Order: sequence, then structure tokens, then C-alpha cells
Amino acid sequence: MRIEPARRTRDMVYAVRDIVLVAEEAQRAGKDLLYLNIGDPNLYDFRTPEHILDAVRDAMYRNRNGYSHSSGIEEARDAIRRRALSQGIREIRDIFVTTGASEAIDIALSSLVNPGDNVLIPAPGYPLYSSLLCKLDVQAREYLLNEEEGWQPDLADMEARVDDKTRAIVLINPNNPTGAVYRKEFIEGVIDLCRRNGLVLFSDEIYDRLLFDDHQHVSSASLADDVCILTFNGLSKNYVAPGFRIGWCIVSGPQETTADYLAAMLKLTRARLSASHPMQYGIAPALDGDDSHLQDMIQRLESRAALTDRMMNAIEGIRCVRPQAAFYAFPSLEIEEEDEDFVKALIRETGVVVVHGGGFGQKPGSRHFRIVTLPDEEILRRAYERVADFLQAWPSRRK
Amino acid sequence: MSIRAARRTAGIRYANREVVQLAEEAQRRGRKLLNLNIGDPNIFGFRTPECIQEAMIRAIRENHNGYSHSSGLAEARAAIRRQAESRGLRKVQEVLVTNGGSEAIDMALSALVNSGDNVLLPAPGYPLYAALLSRLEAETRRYRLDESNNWQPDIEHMAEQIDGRTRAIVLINPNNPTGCVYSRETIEAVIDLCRGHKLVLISDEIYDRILFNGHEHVPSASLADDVCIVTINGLSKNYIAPGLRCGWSITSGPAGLCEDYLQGMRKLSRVRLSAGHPQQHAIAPALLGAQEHLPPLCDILSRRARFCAERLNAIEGVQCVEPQGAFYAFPSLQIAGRDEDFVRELILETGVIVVQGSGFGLQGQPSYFRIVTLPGDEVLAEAFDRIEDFLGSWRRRHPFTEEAAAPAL
Repeated sequence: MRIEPARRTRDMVYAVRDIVLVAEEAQRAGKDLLYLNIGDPNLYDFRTPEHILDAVRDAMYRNRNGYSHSSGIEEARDAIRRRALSQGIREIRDIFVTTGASEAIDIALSSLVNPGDNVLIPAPGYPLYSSLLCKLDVQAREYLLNEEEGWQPDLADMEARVDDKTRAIVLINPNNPTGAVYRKEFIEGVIDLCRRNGLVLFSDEIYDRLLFDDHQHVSSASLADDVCILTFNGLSKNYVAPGFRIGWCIVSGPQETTADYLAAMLKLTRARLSASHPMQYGIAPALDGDDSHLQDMIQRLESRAALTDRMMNAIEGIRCVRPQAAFYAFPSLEIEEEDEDFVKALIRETGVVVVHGGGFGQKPGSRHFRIVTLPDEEILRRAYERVADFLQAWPSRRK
Repeated sequence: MSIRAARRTAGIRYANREVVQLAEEAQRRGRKLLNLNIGDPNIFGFRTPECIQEAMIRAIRENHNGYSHSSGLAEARAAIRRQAESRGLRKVQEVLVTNGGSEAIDMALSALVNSGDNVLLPAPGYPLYAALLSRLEAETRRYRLDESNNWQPDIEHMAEQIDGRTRAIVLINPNNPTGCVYSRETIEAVIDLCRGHKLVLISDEIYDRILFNGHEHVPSASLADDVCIVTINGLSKNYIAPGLRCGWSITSGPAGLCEDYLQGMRKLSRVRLSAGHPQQHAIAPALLGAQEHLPPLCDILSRRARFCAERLNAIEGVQCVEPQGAFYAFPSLQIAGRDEDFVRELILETGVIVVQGSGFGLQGQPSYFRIVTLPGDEVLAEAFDRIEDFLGSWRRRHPFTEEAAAPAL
């Protein structure tokens, strides 16, 4: 006899972490692994700014080790509000601090959808959303990002997928896994779709400070005050502290539109008591600081993205849209086989660990893989050389 | 147009935090607040042991600020496993480190129940479980804890609640809100029910080191190796660090029985990436350390528990079972009217903040309220004086008659 798990876990796949199992196998087989798969800057040559660490340490010495208010500490929420206002976010209704942006997204989805509802998520897109919807027994509907348009959302495809059971649209901007930054007119198009259909816009902006080549990030909630918009952000990426698990949600829009939904979200925050308390003391110093770590960080990320663009596009059978932000690239592969088979073989044969495009959703028939561009240029170069050699020898490329 | 909230949130009530709003109102009215409502030792002057703080600060300095493995830091999991085995837990299959015991419970339930399934929860019991089941659109069924038997679970009543859709029984031992520690016989009887009905036992043992007057805690998973038992624990209470949000689950039982369920839990743990990383570096030092903070902690809490019981029992119309562990007491009240109204007025009139029994899943008569026994002796004494005065005035305004008293549940 076996304990039968809940149905919600059955269809849950998490390619980013599942690929780790293949990598472990390759390591046991003696391969020299090059990790281009984990979006964790601390594993590479990036460090949490010192003043954030000092703030957490001081909080612990001041015995801030008990629970915080369920919505988060006052000084952190004030700093988040100041930052949001400076980005032009209007009609802010509330802010709550969470255990990573992951928890904010979980709370926001759980408070909104009933079984039978659906939510529009990007393909390709970060897999947390489809997993959480799976957990809620709710359908994830994928809308396409348009590779030909530098991975901007395909508004026509998005609109075609909205029906009367649709409750929300998820935008990830800057995008994981494509590295695209959305242009204002596309965001306005999405907001308009939300406006016409009474939908909530989930705007995941966790990479909004990591911008290259003078690209500008426009916060969705700065473009409308008549739509319910949830803006997700946190310390994980911009402030190089993913292991702190500190994120937040900014709820904006008309009071009467958002009130019931907000009350439901706050109920869920109360049930789980609070986010980590001492870590929250890192928020105000981070947001109110001089961001001096960013210049150097962006410089390194930008040159790694440029190297990726250059080397990937030099490989026959690969095309790569140059990333504009964040630390990912999502090159396409001209092969006949599934990209999952390609990637698993790549890991086993060469030790280069990437994640297959299928793990993020993609246009049917297309093949991709995601690269994390955080490693230094030396490692990236070695990895890309191995990818080039491996692809050349790949069965459907030899014909 | 208003955005409709999901149905799953409609039934969620969290009285612990709702009384806070009343307290704010009382403060505006100029009352001097006495907090007997929050199970957070740090706000009452208890301090996180130095070794935990130092380990976490060292981890931050050493750049353990990225994600950890989804299941938790290897060194922490090894320490948890070692401690579990030394306490007699049998057939440990997996240890998962989580964002507080709360997340461990969330994962254990989310990986198990489908909508329409039901889970047995104690009445009274800590409200997180009912909120999570509501979120999962699963049904809460309450079994009685028996006040006349020192708040041990009523096994017969528990058995009556089980049907074909029951998936798990939740035990909270030592108990929040009663402070009761369960006897070996009680736990064995619950395990028998799980065995007979193929149920998972979720054993919440987050207070298992906070014990008074020679009472011993028996881990459920030390009593069986043929039932799937998920033991919940963490740094929050035993190690005075609730704000670090560092908990874990230990799943034990036959490998074949647990495997699919465990896969479900592991998947959920991968989705949310990892628990807070630096704090996980404090787990091994905490569990393997000298535990020097515990004897004085238990000593002071046991004196306060005795004082609470004695002082409350001296008030006419109040009865209180003396707590055997943790930091709560759950006195009963002989009053007319709803406990919710009594507590609301108590807070607004006297500033003494407690939580009504119905917040812990107990409806009807007699009424109850939960007090947290963490505050200092003088605060407790002052609070009980105010409660005594207020209760006297309440009973004069709302005469208590035996006919008003219908049995709870």
C-alpha cells in the first residue's frame, strides 16, 4: 500500500530543478560540470552589498528574532512605498512583505482563482506560475512571446486566449528566461486587455534594476490607475540576496476594485504569521541606499550578455536574441529532436548544464534552451565552445 | 467593479491576529495594554541563544545568501536526522527544511489532500491548520480534547469523525492552546486509528523541549514504524527564534508507503526554491549544542504556568487545567453570552488581550479563552486582577444560568 499524493502534485514539473538530477548523474560519471542553469548570483562572483548584511546583523543583536507584523515591518513597507512612488506607481492600496517573491505570487494567485478559472502566463516563462496554478487545480493558459519581435508579448495571441473564466494576466518584465525588457506600448496593450476584461495584472518586476545598453524599464502600475495591478519585487536579484527569501507585493488600483481581493490576500498573510523578521531590516537600507553595487554588477552582466550574443549567434544552428536585462538568454536550436533530449545529452556528454526550452513553455515546434549568463567569461567561453562542438555532432545536424 | 476573491479565502478566520485590531482600538481609548495573546517569546524578553545568532551572522558573512538546496542544507538535515533518531524516531525517510513549521505543515497538507477530502484537527487547536485546509478546499473535522482528562484527545470522538475521505489526523503535542502533553497510551491509540484507516499522522511537536514538572514528551514517530508520520518541528519555540522562520518536517514510516507522498512534498519544495539560507546554518549548532538555555526557560515558564492556573482557579467562574508544557493556558469561563463578545469587551474595557476559544475551533458552552504565559509575573498578576474585576461585572450584567450551558461540540 502507498499513501496517494494529492492530484495537484502529479502534473507538477519543475525543469529548472529537475535538470539538477541529470547534472548529478553526469558528475558521478566524472564530467567537469559548467553550471549555466541556476539564477543565483551568489554562486558566482556577485555578493550581497555589505550594508544590507550589517542591517540584518544589527537587527538580530537588537533581538528582532520574533515574529513581525504579518504584512511586514513598517520601515520596510515605507521604503517600498517610497520607491514605488518614485517609479510612478499610482493608487497604491497596500504593500505586504513575503518569504521571497514566490510567496507573494502564491498568496496573490491563491486569493484570486477558483477551480475552473484560468490565468494567462507567458511562454516561455518562469515555471513557478504554472506550478502554483497546478497546485490550485487551475488552468494555466500560455500566451506567446514573439521571438521575431525581440521576445515582446504577442498581444493578438494573448487576446485570443482570454475568455470569461480568465482572471489574470502574468507579465514578467524584465523577462526570465528571455532577458527582454518590454516596451511601453506593449505594456499599455496588456493593461488595456485587463481593463476591458476586468482582469488583474500580475507584473513580476524582480529584475527591474538589472538593465543593459540604456534599456529603460517601465513599471506596469505607473501606466494605469484604473486597473488592479500587483507588482512583485524583492531583494533576491537586484540586491543579490535570493537566500534571504525576502520579496513583496505592491497592490495598486481603484479602492473599490481591489478591496475584497486585498482583504483575502491579507487573510492568507496572517495565517502564515510573518516573513523572516531580521531579514526585513535589509529592505530599507537596500532601497534607500546609493545602489553603488549595481554599476559594477550591470557592467559584468552586460559584457557576459554581449559575449553570449556573439558566441551563440556564431554557432550554425543557433540563433539568439540579445538579452536586454536580467541574467538569462534563450537561444533557439535548429534541430529535429526534442530540446529536452538535446539538453540531457549535452549535460551527460559535455557537463554543460542548461535547461531545455520545453521547461519554460515555447511556441509549438520550436526548440530552445536557457542559459544563465552569471558565470565569468572564461567559463561561458568554455561552455559555449562545448555547445558548438556538441551541436555539430548532433544527429539531425549532421545530415 | 470589484475583483472577486477566491472562495477558499471566505472561510478563513484568524482570531489571533484579529484581536490585534481590537487592541489597537483599546489603545486609542487610552487603555494600558497587557499582551497575553502572542506566542512570541522574543517580545517578552526571552532571547535567542547566542550560538544561533552567531551561526547565522557567520553564514551571512560567508556569503551563504544564495538559495540553498530545496530540501535544505545537508548539514542541517543531518543534524535533524541525528536528533530524531536519538529520540527514537523510527524509519526516518526524509527531512525537509522549511520557512517555519507553518510551511512544513502547508506542504504536508498540500501534497496529501484533494478538494473534498477531510483532515481531523483538534478542538481546541492552533488555527493555522483550518486556514490551510480552507485554502485547499478540503474539509476540517474536529475531534474533542477532553478538559476533564487534562485535555488529552478523546479517542472515541476522534474515531467517530473518520470516514472514507479522511486522509490525516493532526496531533499537536505539547498542545497549543491547552499546554497539555499527551500520554504514550493516547498517542498509541491515535496511531492505531491511523494504521487501521491508512491515514497519515501529522505530529506537530514544535514545543517538545518546553516541559514542566517532570512531564515527558513522547515523539509519535518513536512509537511506530509501520505508519506514515510527518513530525513538524523548528527553531521557533524551543530555540526562541520564531522570526527566523526556520522549521522542518521529518517523514517516517515504511519506504514504500511514504514514497509517492514524499515525492509530492519534494516537488512542492522545489517550486518555492528554498527556505531562508543563512538561518539554516543555525540548525546544527542549535540541535547539537549544550541546550543551556532550556533549563532556565522551562523553570521560569513552569512557575508562570503554575501561577496562572492557581490564580485563575481562584476566580469565581473560571477553571484552568495546569499546563504541562509550552506557554499557553486555556481556562474555561462560566458566563452567559458568546466568548467573542466577552473577549471583545474585555480588551476594549481593560486592555487585557487574550484570544477567545472559538478562535481555536471551539463553539458553544462553556466559553474559553487562551492566555499566553510568557509575560512577567507582575504583568500576569495585573492582568488576572483586571480579568477578575471584569468577569464580576460581566456576570452581574449577564446572569449565568445552568440552562445556558450546553455542551461544546
